[in-house]
Amino acid sequence: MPVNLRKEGQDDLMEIQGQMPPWKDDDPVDGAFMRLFSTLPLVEPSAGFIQRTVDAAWEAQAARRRWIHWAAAAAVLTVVGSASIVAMLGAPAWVVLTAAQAGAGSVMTLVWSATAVAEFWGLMVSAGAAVARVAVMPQSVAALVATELLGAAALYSLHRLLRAEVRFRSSGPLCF
Amino acid sequence: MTTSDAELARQALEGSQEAYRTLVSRYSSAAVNIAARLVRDRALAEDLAQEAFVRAFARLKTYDPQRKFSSWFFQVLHNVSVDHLRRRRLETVSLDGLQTDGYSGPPTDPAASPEAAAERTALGSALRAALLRIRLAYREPLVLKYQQGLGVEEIAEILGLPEGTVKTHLHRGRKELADILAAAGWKPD
Repeated sequence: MPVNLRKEGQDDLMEIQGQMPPWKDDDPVDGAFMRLFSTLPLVEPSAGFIQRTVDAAWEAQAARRRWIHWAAAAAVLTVVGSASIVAMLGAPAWVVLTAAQAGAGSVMTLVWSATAVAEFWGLMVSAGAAVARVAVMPQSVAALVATELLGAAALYSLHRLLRAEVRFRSSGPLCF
Repeated sequence: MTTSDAELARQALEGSQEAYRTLVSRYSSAAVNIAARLVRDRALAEDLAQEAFVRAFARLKTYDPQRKFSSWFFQVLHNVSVDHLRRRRLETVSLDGLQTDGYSGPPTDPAASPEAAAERTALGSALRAALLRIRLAYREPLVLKYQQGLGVEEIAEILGLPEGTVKTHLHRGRKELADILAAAGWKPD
């Protein structure tokens, strides 16, 4: 059930629910909100929260360190194992061939991508220059300004219409 | 003499559990209270606060001692809370559905009459419910400003927003909050 405030918070709520001016530092509404928030129910951390939190932080750090050690050990084992196998058996010809092909393919892809980006950039520069040439002509500037003014006027009219609509809707029943 | 937060952070980084325990005890209440304004469930608020402390410890190397530790830590808490709320859509509550689910009452004046104390408790519950109904972008700056008493500059730093945006959010949040309270019957007689 809603409770009407009668005593200590009354002035604060009157201040809050009255005319609320735009934000400015240290205004009276600010003080009223500060007092209003002092009525919020306090939440105290449960017993043992601090110890649990510190334990969790240390455990998370230990887990992170364990993971890093395992990952480092696995990487070293992989490198040492692969090197040992290659040293003992020698690298098969197909491994060397595949590596060479992959390397060459990567270089070709890189060159092709860079060329495509450069061509696109050149095209955009040409298009931009053409648009700029047209845009600086007096006729173009006049047309652009006229279009912008027309758009602003249309937006303003729409805004007025919508506000009128809202006022009409919220004015309550018209008859009955 | 009280050891500074920056000094405690340095000691914690060197492995001192005691130093980090002191830091946690300094900010545990604030952290749980901030989180409790962002989520509905008290236990979840505690979990978020704990996760923030754990994440802060893991990233303690990135803390710049020139900055206020509280601002840096509240930034971590903000990130943890936002991550959580992104994972689970924010719950909204009705004004009637919120009473005393694990929350102690507001700080009361022992000299106040029982009626005044009851009104204060009811207003606190209504405010808490109203806070949970306004959007997070407005709620966070309101909580940091009016519950924690932080300045606009510090709030902007914590939330990673320009000061002008924080002021706008505070202004709009205050208006929304006042509207919700008014709609719930909290009007001056």
